[in-house]
Amino acid sequence: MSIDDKQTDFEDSSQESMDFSSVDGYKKRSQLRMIAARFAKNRMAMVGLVVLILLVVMVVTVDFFFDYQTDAIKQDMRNRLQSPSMAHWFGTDQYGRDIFARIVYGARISLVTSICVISISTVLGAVLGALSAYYGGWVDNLIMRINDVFYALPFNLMAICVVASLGSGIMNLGLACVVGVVPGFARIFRSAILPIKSQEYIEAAKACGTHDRRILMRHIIPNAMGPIIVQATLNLAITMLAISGLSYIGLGIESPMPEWGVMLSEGTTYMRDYPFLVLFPGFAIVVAALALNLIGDGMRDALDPKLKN
Amino acid sequence: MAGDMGYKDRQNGQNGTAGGAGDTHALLEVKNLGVEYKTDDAVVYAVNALSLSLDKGQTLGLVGETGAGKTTLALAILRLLPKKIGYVTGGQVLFDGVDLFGIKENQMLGYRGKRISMIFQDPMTSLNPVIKVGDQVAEILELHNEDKKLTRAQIERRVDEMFNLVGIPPERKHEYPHQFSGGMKQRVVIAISLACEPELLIADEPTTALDVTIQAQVLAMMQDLKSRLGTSMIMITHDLGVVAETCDLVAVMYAGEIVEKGTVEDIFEGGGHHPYTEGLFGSIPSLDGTESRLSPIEGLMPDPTRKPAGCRFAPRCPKRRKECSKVPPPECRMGGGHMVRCHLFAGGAADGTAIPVENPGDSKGGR
Amino acid sequence: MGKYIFKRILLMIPVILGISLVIFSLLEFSPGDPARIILGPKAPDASVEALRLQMGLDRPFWIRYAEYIFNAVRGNLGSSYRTKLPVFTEIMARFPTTINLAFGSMVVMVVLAVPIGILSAVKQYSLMDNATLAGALVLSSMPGFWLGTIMILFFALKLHWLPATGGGSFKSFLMPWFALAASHMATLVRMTRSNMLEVVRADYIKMARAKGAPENRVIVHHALRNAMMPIVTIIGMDFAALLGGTMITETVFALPGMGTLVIESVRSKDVPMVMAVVLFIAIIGGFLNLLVDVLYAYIDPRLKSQYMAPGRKKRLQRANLVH
Repeated sequence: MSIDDKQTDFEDSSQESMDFSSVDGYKKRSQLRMIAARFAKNRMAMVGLVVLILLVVMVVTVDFFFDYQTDAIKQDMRNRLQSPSMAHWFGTDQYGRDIFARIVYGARISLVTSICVISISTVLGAVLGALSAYYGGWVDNLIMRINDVFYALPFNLMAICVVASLGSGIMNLGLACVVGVVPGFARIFRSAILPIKSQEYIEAAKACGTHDRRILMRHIIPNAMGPIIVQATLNLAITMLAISGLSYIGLGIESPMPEWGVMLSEGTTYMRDYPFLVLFPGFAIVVAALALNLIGDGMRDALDPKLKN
Repeated sequence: MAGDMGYKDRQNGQNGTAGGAGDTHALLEVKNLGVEYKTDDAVVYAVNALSLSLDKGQTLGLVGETGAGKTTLALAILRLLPKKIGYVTGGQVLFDGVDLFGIKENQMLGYRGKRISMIFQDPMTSLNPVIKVGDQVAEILELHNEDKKLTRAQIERRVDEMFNLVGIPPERKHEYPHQFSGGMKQRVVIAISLACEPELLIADEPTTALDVTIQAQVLAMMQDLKSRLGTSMIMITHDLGVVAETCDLVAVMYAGEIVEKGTVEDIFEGGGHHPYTEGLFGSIPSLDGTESRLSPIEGLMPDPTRKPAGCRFAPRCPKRRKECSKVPPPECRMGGGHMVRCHLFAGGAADGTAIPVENPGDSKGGR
Repeated sequence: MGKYIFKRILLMIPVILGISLVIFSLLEFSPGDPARIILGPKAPDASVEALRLQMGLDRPFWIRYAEYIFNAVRGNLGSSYRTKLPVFTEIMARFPTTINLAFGSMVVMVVLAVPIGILSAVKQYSLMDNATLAGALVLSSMPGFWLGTIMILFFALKLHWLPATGGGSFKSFLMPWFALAASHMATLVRMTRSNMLEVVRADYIKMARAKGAPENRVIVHHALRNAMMPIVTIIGMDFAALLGGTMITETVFALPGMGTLVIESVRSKDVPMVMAVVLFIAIIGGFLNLLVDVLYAYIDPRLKSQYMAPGRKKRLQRANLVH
């Protein structure tokens, strides 16, 4: 039985050399570049990345176009509740402040806070998870039982109690979120590290007399990086939503600050006649969270193609 | 292919598609089959212009490395290629004279399990973990009981019979798969696949996942059942010992093609082999031999996403010639049903593509 | 099985104690003096001090915590600082709204998300599948309070189909159920879909097809039950999360449930009330998880035989003795 004629159309010399070279092994590519390539191939993830970059650019350059005190904070009762126009793209709120400016400043608050929260939580969670998984025994028991206590509390409830005891404000809200996020992270990271611990290369490292700390930092954590990064990015959006949610019920960032949740809760009073008061901040939250979620999904697929679907 | 060996006089299936049309055609005939897997990244050419035929009662051993396309061939015959990924790109599968690619899906259901059965690679995962083993055997009988010929009690009796046949006490039919060992699970799988007394059984590495001692038991049992029921069988394996023991015919697959086929004697004894087949044999230790080292085949399977111009084995072939990487090798008859797809036996025809492939007259014997 | 349940309940006790300690200390260190809060800002310092002594607030932290736990175990959760009513009465008055909200949204979530997830998996890569994934993504990026607000804006204020604020009628709960369910629904759809996809690729599904089973039987009879097992766990965990996460939805729809109760209580430093609500939710959550695990053991024969093993062994031993 013959092979199609088409095949003989293939340009032979290059094909030939390719075939022979491939026997010796495929071209080596760094893992990071492969992950980046996979991520770049994911169209939705790239959309998310572009949106996020746009947001960041806006946040960075906002001070050239608006003044925080005069545009986002200072009340201007003569211009209150104006519909969107060229002067005020998203209109003005009930205190006459430019909604667009407030939304962009809100992006700064949300992004910076949630990134800080996630960074701190990731480090804490990774350390707790690694210690717990690596040492096992009583260390594991102690860390995980204390962790269980915090894990058993619903996130909002925990955060509310923390804010209540420390008072509202960005720092305390951030702390509340860290307390809410770390237990989940510690659990996930522990279970990501556990299987690595029993891999042969760890035993090999131990057999070579490598110190515990070096094994943890050089062998275990880098190999568990995949799930850690995925969890971190996916939780960025959740944290952002939680921050605006807590601010919405008045237990987070407080009123004059242009936080999206605060803007939304203030806008509800007037929303029957001025729906843009709640529509724009809401859209801002959805767009930002969507971008982060898309990136998170893209990261997951890029880091672990097997997990896809 | 070798002469007609259809000695079996089995009862015809109840579904009247061309059953018992006499022994003018082979039970299974695969003609020019091509299968591709299409993913986002690439197209994998899994099976390429593959032809084989199998008569009633015969056992065909399909050997080759992992990834040679053996399982794909089996799935294609049953039309069970993964949806939206696996595509048949050409060719025919004739079963008892019926083109399986030409019939409707619900007609195909009448073939699967009833007339063609398959045993999958891993018995550990082939049984549904939440359904009792007895019910899993009963299911195949119920599925092919459209005319309600069998009563519930008869089905139960048949299940008991099958359990006895494969050597499991029928009392255990109320247990779940996790309560069985690997060998027992494989027996259950075999009971399922033979419950409807299929005409063709495709066994995809039925013993690789089992312990060596259990392997022999299961193989012996399969052989026994096969001869008792007169089933034809395609035995997919990379264990040449299994082939020698159980098969009448052998087809050696490499990168989606059959590179050599013939009777067991042709492949195991006579001369004139494809260099890949020789490589396969060089990779097994022999007890009486004097060689101090095994001679494995150098290199890896070629990238299945590319169609090479010439012979697929050329890059690894120790007897590579100039034309090998440029011109697809012809099928060369070596006498009887023995075929080798290699330039070495083509009688020096190395120019162009127009090599007579369908019936090349030259069967130059071994070297 | 009974032994297992008992063990699990025992294991819950330290967690609940830990939670109570965490909340108690958080409230302890929060600014504001409960006596001052009870009497109001205008009360004379002397009477505030008298109340402090009467309430025992001058005693050390550990004594007061131990006392609280001792009383709580005997069923005395104390009285609210704010309303002076027993905490238990107040919780029981608010609980129905919250359980209605959580249960209703769980039903909405399961009824919508599970079938959609399954269909989406069965028709992988179809238009419907892509639309489902996109919808789930948007839903998971949408804060519940905004979704609630938008729904109020359209269905209540513009279209006048549904009441804007809640309590009571079935109609008034429709929007809160959906708003609360939305984000959990998104994850459930994705989980159901990916589970189903995974199961559909399993060997026993190939085997079922090779047996000649028609596609819908393969899905319903062979795939569904295997795919549903992890889903049950997720639904159970979601229900616990829904119960503890009602505060924002209750605020949006002005529902008098435990969520709004806890917010009010936290604001007024109503220690007994906050403690009681948090412990209540934590205990219910613990029991829900237990229930899910027990249920799971009943669906999964592998686990069932594990739990049943001792009893079965005994029976077998007895049978042997009789022989």
